[in-house]
Amino acid sequence: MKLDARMTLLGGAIAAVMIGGAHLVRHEKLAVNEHHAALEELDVQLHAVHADRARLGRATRLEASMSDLPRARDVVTQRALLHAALERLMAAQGLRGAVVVHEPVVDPSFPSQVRVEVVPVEVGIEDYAAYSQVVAFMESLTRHPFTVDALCIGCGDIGSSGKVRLSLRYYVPPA
Amino acid sequence: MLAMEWHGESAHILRLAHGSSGFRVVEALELAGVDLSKYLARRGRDPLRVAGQFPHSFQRLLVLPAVDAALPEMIASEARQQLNMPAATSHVVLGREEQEGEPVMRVAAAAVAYEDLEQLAGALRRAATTPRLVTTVPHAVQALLARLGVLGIEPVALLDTTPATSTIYVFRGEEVRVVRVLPEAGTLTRDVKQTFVFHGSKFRGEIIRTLWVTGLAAEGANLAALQKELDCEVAPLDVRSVVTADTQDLAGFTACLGAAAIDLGSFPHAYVAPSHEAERRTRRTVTGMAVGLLVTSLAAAIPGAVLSRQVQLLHVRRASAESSIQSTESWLRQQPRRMVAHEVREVQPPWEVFLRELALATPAGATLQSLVVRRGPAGWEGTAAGEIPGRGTLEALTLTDAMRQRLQRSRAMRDADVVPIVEDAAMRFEVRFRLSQRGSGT
Repeated sequence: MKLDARMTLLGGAIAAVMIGGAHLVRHEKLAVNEHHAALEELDVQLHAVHADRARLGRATRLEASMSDLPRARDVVTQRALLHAALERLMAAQGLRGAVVVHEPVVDPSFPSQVRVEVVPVEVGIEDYAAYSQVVAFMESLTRHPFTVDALCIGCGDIGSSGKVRLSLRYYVPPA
Repeated sequence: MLAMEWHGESAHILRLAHGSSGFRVVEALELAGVDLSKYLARRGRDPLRVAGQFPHSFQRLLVLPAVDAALPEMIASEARQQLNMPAATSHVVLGREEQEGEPVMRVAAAAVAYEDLEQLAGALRRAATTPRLVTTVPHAVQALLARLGVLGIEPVALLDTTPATSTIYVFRGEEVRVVRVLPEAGTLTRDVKQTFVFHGSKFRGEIIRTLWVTGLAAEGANLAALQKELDCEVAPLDVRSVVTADTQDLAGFTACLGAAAIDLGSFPHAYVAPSHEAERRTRRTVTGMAVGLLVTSLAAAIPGAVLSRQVQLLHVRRASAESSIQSTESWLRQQPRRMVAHEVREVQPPWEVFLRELALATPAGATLQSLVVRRGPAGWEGTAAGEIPGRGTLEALTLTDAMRQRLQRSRAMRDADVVPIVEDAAMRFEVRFRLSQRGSGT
């Protein structure tokens, strides 16, 4: 091959290597940046799921001790059962009152991987003979999948009627 | 090594190998035309030195103004005048002196027409070979004599005879004084004598005391005849200190031996054809560009490789994190009951403890009238209200202070405070607090 042709070929090769090299480096830098951004996001997710896992690790013994209320597949039957169960819990402490069971909703406070339904419930206890009855009733709630969103004694802040008014959240126990 | 004496159409070639003392002749050839090209092409890897008989060339002693910077231009000008065509020049400064009060330089100058050099270059290009050295035959012969140590301040002559032609050279140190091709063998002695006379007349009667003879004339009878006629020492040139040849007849290869004897590092009379010079420049450029290509490739490849490695490592880290998240999420999906249990038992306040502590903290004589607790974004917080009937302000304040102290020691409550409210009819108070979660350990 003649020298001039070699020179042209080398010039072309240098230009091609420079362009190709710049393209390669730019491409790899973009890939590195993309991976870094993805890793930051993944680190946050990882931290969250590990925190959830650690939190749940402590709940093992609680799970065993929590007794469920009777449950049914049918929503209407489930509402009736819940209604009856709460009246039974009140009656066990010598209390009487009204129970309002609302439609179940998905609880957004749980991790997205877990679908847990909650049933908002309002309870109004007409009266009580002793303060200890209310304390015992509240204690009995925590043995079942209830949490208390609001408690009101001697006031009208909650929609239900009665001297003691409660806004509860019933967790439909997952199968 | 190949040492070639080039005559235009034909050439004498010596192929030499390095021996224990100097060179050893491997083969000695006389080739022409296609055979020459084929031979040179076949021996293309051997370094080639050429001593050329160029028709348009000269070697001359010049006396020039002592201006070093202008020396190459003055010699080039002299060459143009002598040859009437562009030429490559060479020179050696022999000495400096004053003539008529002006400083001058004595210069042994030489030139070869570019046309002749291009003709040689074309022939070599056809054989796809490039010479390491191109010089003239007289300079090659001079180099041989210098190597043999017979050059000095006295002029010496060399008679080189071959079956075809005879040439006589006269040298003095670095000067090439006479180069004369003698017409025919029959008048050899007379022609040599004429050359000596010419030299004596041109160089102010300087006498040539030694005539070295090579080739056919170096035979005993011829030497004796020459010595008788010339009135100087006549001796055969012994080249055995430079080259050894077992059976080869080296008549006609004197210039080849001279080309082989040249020390390339210090030899001043090497010539390059313009096309070879351009080719050399182009070759240097191509080499530079090849180096540039290598450097550019490395400059692109090294950061590229480092970044690629980084990408690979990040990819592995990312895959590992994704895998860890997936496995943890998979585990979480299987734990809804545990989550609910945690929510119910750990996140909630200990209601029974709270209600008891609130009741116990309320002092005798005070009555709680209302209690409200709500779950807000920051957890459970509440207020309670009550009154202290039938007590003086000071006593009522003492009671509320005692209640505050008890609440502040509570396990179920935190940030508790009791605010007394003085009214006309009765003393009232308000309790504000937050509730701790069961799982918080408080």
